[in-house]
Amino acid sequence: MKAPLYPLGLIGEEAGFIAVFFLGLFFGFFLERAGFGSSKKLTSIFYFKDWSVLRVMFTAIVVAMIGLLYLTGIGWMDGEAVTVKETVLGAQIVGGLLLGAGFIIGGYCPGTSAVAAASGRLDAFAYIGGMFAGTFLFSAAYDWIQPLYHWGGMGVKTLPEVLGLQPGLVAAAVVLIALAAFAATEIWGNPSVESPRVWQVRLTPHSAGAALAVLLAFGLVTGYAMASRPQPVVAQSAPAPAVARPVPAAPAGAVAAPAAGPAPVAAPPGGVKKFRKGKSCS
Amino acid sequence: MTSMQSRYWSPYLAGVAIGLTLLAAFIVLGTGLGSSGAFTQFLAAAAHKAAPGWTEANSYLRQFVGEGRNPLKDWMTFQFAGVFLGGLIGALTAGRMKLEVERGPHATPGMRLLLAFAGGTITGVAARLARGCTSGQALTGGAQLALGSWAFMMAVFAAAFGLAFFLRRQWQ
Repeated sequence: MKAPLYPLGLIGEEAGFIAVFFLGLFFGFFLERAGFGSSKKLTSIFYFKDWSVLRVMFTAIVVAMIGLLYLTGIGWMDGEAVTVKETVLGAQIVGGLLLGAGFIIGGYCPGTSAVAAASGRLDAFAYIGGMFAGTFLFSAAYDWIQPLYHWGGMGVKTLPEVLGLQPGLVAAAVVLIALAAFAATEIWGNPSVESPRVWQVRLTPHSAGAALAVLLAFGLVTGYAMASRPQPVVAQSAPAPAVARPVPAAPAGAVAAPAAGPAPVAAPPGGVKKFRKGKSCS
Repeated sequence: MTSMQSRYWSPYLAGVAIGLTLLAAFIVLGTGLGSSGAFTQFLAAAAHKAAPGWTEANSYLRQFVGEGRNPLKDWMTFQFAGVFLGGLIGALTAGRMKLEVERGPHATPGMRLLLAFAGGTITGVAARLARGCTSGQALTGGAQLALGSWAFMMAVFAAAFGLAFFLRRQWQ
């Protein structure tokens, strides 16, 4: 296992701080290039005018998802060492509804507000002020909010576990849904060719579709490669990580999953994701 | 339209770029990206400075200011600084840096600022409740196929599309 670097102790904390800064730098730059420093552009998806938000988000999710599946599938990356956030279904649905309301009312989400503020948008500074007020309100009322905060807690749960399907298959379904959404918005919504020509490559619905079809094929291949993989490569000859972590026992899936509902197809090959307490991004 | 402004990237290209950044975050840090967490860290630091007793007693904020903890020295705050600087570089190199209250054609600046603050406040509560925002939950958890993240993402879009009608005069 070569990755993830920090959890496996392959880089130190200082390197982590430097890396996270530069990751943020690229994230902010790409958000700006996507046009997400503009509240008008961000909100126009909700008036069916500009589908960039959906296109950017879905593409990013698909790329990272396939990359993650592939790297863990070939055994280069330890999926167990990647932090997966707990599912607290009720709190996350209520929080999502509120965040959606805050998005259309305020014009931003937290990350894009930083980019907009950096672009000189004064309304983004007002939004950021509101973010602090809201975070303060939440903290002050935390005792009172707690029941809602923990409503629907299920521990770490992923779609493949819940659906009882191989991660590769679920990923392929996500890619298909993304492709369908891209096709639908290219046909019935604003076409992305309004913002074409990046580095002299003309991005048309066709070339974008072709590129995504390649991704889909790759995702499917990865999915099946993983499905046919008997066991995650735990006992590799590679030097053992210094970080003490419970090694997932082979039948972990069987123990952890009480036969709920229709008996799930064998535990996903990646093993049941364990929630690791540690640094998590939020 | 200023002709000096360079055009936005294709959304698919920007999506691939953000996706690769997210993947790099998984590979290097073992977590994804996040934005709203930085606000919590900043708030905890400011509150601890202004009212140390209250902050250390607060049942939510005390986890960030415990013994020997500096809420500013956190991955989230460093990443947020990076996002801000990246946005700044992006806006400057594209000629999009402009001091203005961005608003719809029929919205007044005062109302826009008020609503931006209100929307930010709602989002501040929402992001804590959901344990993340569009970055930490929708993008990061989405790529990990986390159940709660997908539920969160659906809820975000449902609420925003549902309320868009009532705010159409602000934006359109």
